[in-house]
This record gives sequence, structure tokens and C-alpha cells, in this order.
Amino acid sequence: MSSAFKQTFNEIEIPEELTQRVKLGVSEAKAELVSPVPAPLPSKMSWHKKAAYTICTAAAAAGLLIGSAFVSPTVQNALANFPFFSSLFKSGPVIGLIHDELRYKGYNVMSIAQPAGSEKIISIYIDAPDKEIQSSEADVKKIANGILASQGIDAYTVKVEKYIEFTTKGEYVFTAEEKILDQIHMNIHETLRKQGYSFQTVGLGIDKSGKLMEYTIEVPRNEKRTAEMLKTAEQIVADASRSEKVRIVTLNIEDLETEGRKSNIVSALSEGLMGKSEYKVNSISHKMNPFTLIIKTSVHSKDENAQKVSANIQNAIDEFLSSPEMKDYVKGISYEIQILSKDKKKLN
Amino acid sequence: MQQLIEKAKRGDDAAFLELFNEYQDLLYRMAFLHVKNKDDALDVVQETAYKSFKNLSTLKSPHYFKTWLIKITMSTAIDLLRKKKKITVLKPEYAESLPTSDHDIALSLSLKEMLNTLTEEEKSIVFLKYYDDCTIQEIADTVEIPLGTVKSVLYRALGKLRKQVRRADL
Repeated sequence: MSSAFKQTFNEIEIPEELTQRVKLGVSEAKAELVSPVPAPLPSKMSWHKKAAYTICTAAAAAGLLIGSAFVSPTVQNALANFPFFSSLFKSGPVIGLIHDELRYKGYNVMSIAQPAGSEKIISIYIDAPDKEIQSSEADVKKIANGILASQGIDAYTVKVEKYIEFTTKGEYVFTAEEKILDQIHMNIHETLRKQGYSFQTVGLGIDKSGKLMEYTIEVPRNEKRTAEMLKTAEQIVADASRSEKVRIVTLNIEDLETEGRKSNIVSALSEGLMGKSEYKVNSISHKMNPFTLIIKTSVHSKDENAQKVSANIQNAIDEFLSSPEMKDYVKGISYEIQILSKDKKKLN
Repeated sequence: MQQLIEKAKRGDDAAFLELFNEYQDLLYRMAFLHVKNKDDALDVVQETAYKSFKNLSTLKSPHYFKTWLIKITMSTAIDLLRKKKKITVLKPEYAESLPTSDHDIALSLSLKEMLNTLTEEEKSIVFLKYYDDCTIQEIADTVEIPLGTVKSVLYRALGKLRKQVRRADL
């Protein structure tokens, strides 16, 4: 089994640029060791300071900038030149700064989370005994708040919490139903593979309650035998006396590229709008087709300022997305904006 | 090795790179297991190189160099996962419009299933055991959990993988 696993792990191909990236990491560290960064803000934001090298090779190799929740360096560079978001992005997302600074000060920060939802909280999880956390809480908050303030972010409350490792106890036991569904899943996968179809994955589509709705087969665009694949899979489901649907999803590389850019835009806007209290934004979500930004605010529709807040947000987004810096990034993407009040009324 | 580490501690980046290069493939694969795509895995290794060179003075003994690098890689990868999870606020009702796979065509299916079946902790442990041939004690030291827990996590992970292993005709 050992060699079989080894073989599987070896399937992870080592990219050509690995050595170059290692060198880059080391040279960044060296540069900082030689000329220490002045307190209080370390200029290092390594997650986001991917060198131009990376962008070029990544883009050249695949032509893609696929759906990262991170703001890509391209967007960041554009943002950095744009006054509205400049304070936020010239040094990268603020959570990274807080993390690096606390680590640098010797705190054993395990993670910093910004929970999704309407509460604007930044939770800093520290791995240390309770007493130590209690005694350092004020200092940690002071550092974090200082960094937030330096970035013009005034909408968040900082919480310091003890890091608890997530562990699961015991082995997961499948229910009889799950076993059947899993068997079908396996059969579809195996049968399609044996029959030589090309497909990316066989997935399970689950509804909100966790009930299985359908099997999805992701197929690259050049695989033309989708009708046959569908028939084969449907037969397997029917043979097991089940009624779940089978759906073929065609993977389109161009769509993925556009979706990646859209996700990056949403990330950039989330941080920019949610971080400043004047916008009163609680959350930003989006729909892909048509690309719609759904912005939930904390103002009531009857609030006298509601229209003003909405207009402010709309202007900020329009101005940002139509700026020359963003031109290449927004290319070919049209967007709609829905600004919602606290009582779920559309404000714009 | 000790000499190289001493040199590196004095700021000799060439010495450090010589040491690091020996483990970079291992670290990259470890990172990939967690983040599941090439770009993020490269980020993690770059960050690991950055952090490890910068903090080399905190390495207690050259003996622990590899373990130390693996630890940094794991925590960096998990940090990245956590950071990524929260930056975009996506409500469940819109989630279905997101792509369902991670679009890494280089990935073979059995590997993909392994990636999707195991928890982060299980991945690390299976990887250290079967890829790096670590002993249970070494794994316990690296992952910083008790020996008995390593065994039970490993057992659980193998149980989960049994199907996949059979499926891959291993």
C-alpha cells in the first residue's frame, strides 16, 4: 500500500517554476533581513506580493487567472493606483498585515478569521494557555486596531480568542442510504472510465437540506459523446431503482477565466466597501449569470439617509470598475448592482 | 548540513537554497495536498522559503530542519485555506453558480478523490507516513499530536480511502 500511495502522491507534478519561486521567497526575506522594516508595519505581504514573474508565467502557461478568493496581483496593482481603495491595497489585505505583525511580535497566531455575516468582527485565534491570552488580549487588540486604522478601516471590532484545534472523533459511519448513493456514484465513475470517456469529475449535487438531488459529470468541451455518457449514467441510476437526475456540465475554459476575474472583483469590492463604515455594507454576494453584485447594507429603507448611502455605494463601484486601471480586468464583463436595505428592500 | 545551516543563519542565501532545494518537492506536494491547486501551492512554498530563511535563527537544532520546514508548510497552507474561506462572502443560495471542481486538469482522479476524501489533518499524516516514510513518532512530533492520536487518525484515513484504493486497482 505504501508504494501505491507514494505513486499517487508522485502524481502531483512539480512545476518548473518551483525553484524560481523558492528563490523569490528567500530573496524577499534576505532583502528584509538586510534592511529591517521600520515599525510598526512590516512591509512584507508575501501572499500578495507575487512578483510580476508569477503573473507572467501563470498567464502565459494557462492564460488563466482562475477563481481565487484572493485579490490577484493584477487587481491589486490597479487598486493601488486608485484613490478609493489605495490605502487598503497598497500593502495587501489587512488581515495578512495583522497576522504578520502579531507573529513578528511573538504571538502564536494560528488564524485570523473574518466570519461571513453581518457582524463585522475580526477574530484572532491564538494558540496559548488561557491566562496568557487574557493577559495579552489588550496588546493584541491594540496592535490589530492600529493596523486597521492605518489602513483606513474603521468598521471592524477585533476579538481575541483561544485557538482550538478541530478534531473529529471516531470513524464516520455511512447510513444505508448513503452507501447506496455512494455505490452508484462509484459505478458511474468506474463505468465511464472503463468505456474510455473523458471527463473531469463525477460529482454529487446536494440541496440545502443535504439531500442528494443529482449526479453531475463534468466534461471537457472536446468530449462530444455527452449523450452516450448521460444515457450510461442514467441507466446505472435506474438499475439501482433510484430517481436522482444526471446532469452533464461542460467545462469551458473561457468561462472559467471570466468567472475568476469576477470573483476577484467581488473580493476587492468586499474588502473595500465592508471595511469603511461610511458605506454601511454588511455583506456582498454575487450571482454569476448575469453577473450581479448583491450588496446588503445596514440601513433601513425608511431611513432618511438610505438613498444617499445607496448612491454612495453605487458611485464608488461604478467609479472603481470604470477606472482606466481596471479596464483590462473588467473587459467583457457587464454587471448589475442590487443594493438592499436592512429590511430587504431594493434601494437603487 | 550543520555547516550549511550555520552559514545560512549568518545570512548566506546560497547555502540556505542548497538546503531548501533538497526538500522543495516534498514541501510542494505537501502544500498541494491542502490547497489543491498549483498556484496556491507555489505561493505556500514561496512563503515557506521566505518564513524559514527569515526565522532560521529560531531553529533549535539542524536535526529538526526538515520537520521544521514541513511544519511551516502545513501551517502556511492551512492559514491560506482559512484566509481564502472568509474573504469572499458568499451566501448559500448563490453558491450553486460557482464552479464545482478546482479545475486542475493535471490531477488524476484517484489523487483527486484522496484530496477530497480526507481532512487536512488526515492528509498530512497519510502523506508523512506513506510519502516521506516517517515513523509514527516522527509524525507525532511534526504534527504535534499524541502518538495514539496519530495511529487512530491514520486508521480512520485508511478506512476512508479503502474504497478509493480498491477503485484505483492498487
